[in-house]
Amino acid sequence: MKILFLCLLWSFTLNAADKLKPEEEKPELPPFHHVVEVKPTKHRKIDDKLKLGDKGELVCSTCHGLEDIDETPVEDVDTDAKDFLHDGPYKPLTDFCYRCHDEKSNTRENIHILLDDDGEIKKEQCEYCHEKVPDREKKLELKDLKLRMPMETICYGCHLKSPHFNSVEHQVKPESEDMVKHLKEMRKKQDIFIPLSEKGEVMCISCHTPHQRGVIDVNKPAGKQVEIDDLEKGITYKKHPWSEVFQADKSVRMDELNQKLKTNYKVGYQRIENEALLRLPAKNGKLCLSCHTFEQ
Amino acid sequence: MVIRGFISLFLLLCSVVSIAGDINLLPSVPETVKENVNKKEKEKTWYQKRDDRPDIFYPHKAHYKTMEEEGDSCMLCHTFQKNTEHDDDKRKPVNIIANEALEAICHDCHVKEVKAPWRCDVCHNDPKAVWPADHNSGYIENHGEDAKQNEKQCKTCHLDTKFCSDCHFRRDTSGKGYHPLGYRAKHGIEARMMPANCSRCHNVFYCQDCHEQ
Repeated sequence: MKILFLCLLWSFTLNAADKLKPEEEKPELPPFHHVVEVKPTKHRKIDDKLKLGDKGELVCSTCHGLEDIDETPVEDVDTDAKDFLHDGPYKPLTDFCYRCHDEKSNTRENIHILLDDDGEIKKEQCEYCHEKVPDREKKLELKDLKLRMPMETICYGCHLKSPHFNSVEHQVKPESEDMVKHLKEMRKKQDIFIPLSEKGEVMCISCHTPHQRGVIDVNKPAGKQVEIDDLEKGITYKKHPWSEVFQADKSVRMDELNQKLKTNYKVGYQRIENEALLRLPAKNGKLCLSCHTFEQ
Repeated sequence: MVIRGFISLFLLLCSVVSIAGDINLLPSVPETVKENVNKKEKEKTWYQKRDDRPDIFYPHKAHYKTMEEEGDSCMLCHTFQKNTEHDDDKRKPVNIIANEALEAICHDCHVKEVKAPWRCDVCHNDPKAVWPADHNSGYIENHGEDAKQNEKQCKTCHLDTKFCSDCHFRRDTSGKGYHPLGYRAKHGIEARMMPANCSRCHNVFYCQDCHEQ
């Protein structure tokens, strides 16, 4: 009797699993993926070369040229393939977006570019972060800055919390009192401003400065930062042969991890060409060594 | 009789403990405690984990000058590359791998180009950690064939040919090998005084081959 009951239960479970199958087989979309299976509004001009589905809805093949991409698990999709996005590759990626979306009305100014051609402050840019344009002539306390959000989270208004590796790992309290002491000494020695949050934690703006060089008097600690010719271009990297060495070194561990997580992550090494909005250069390690010390 | 009694009692106690363990009669370590221990282990940062590896020594300060000269920042090993994974559970393990010590990058200067100190023990504190499995006792006697077939393989560690010539070009012995002529007759004294010296090259079978005859 018990065996009969177990068999019945098993067959029921199998049936239920079969019914669930089609849902499960649908590959999961990666985070921040464009919405699919929706009909674009009449006002949206879709590029003629990008074909919509039978009901006029956005389907995978509208944007992607890879065969059977709708049945391919995300981790197996070759994002470097020429036809990953129709007529690709696109650099920057937004060039593809502008095939349907209007570039002019969708482009936002880089709010870190705070000075106009005459070197005057673009006040409307300041107000993205400050409620009021701060008086640059006065010595300002944190409360005088009238920030719209606490300084440790204000960057997240536009940027993601983990835009680069090791960013989240750094947003903590320095690991020892000695580190804080060293930081204070280095601040004094280099006459530079490296702020910590009110809780004493490292923030994005500990290493990065949100202001273009010259917005704050360059002779003041808070105004000192790495010079850059073209802030619009931002940080640039150049390829380096060590990337292959780097990848070879980590290939076994990365393969194991990718298999476990069903992902296709790649790590590599690129050498920094132009640094942007950094308080001290990271290229030669000066920025890192403001906090980190080594006995040997 | 008394001893027998004690032994039987001890065996009986052992069997009860073993059965109790099987059927969970004995108090075990509570799951919460186990979880906390695991959590503590999990909470270790990548650099704490790195510090747990005593086999690799990386003197950061010694590299400052090279970093300055060649423009190789800290980010060569601790990559700050752009991240596209924002699920922390997935990003963290990738981040850890990205931060781990790089054998290939280190060896590029220290082994391949030999423009930095190349002795293995400069960085590898424990020679056993990098010691090849086939380099067991007796290997010095038999290394010749390997060296003839794949000299390159030897040179991955023995970068200085002095390592070979120290023995092969030795002229202060009249024998063809490592030991001076007539050493067999008087080897017993050294074998008794410093047996560890012998075992650097010879295993126990080497001795037995003659001494058991």
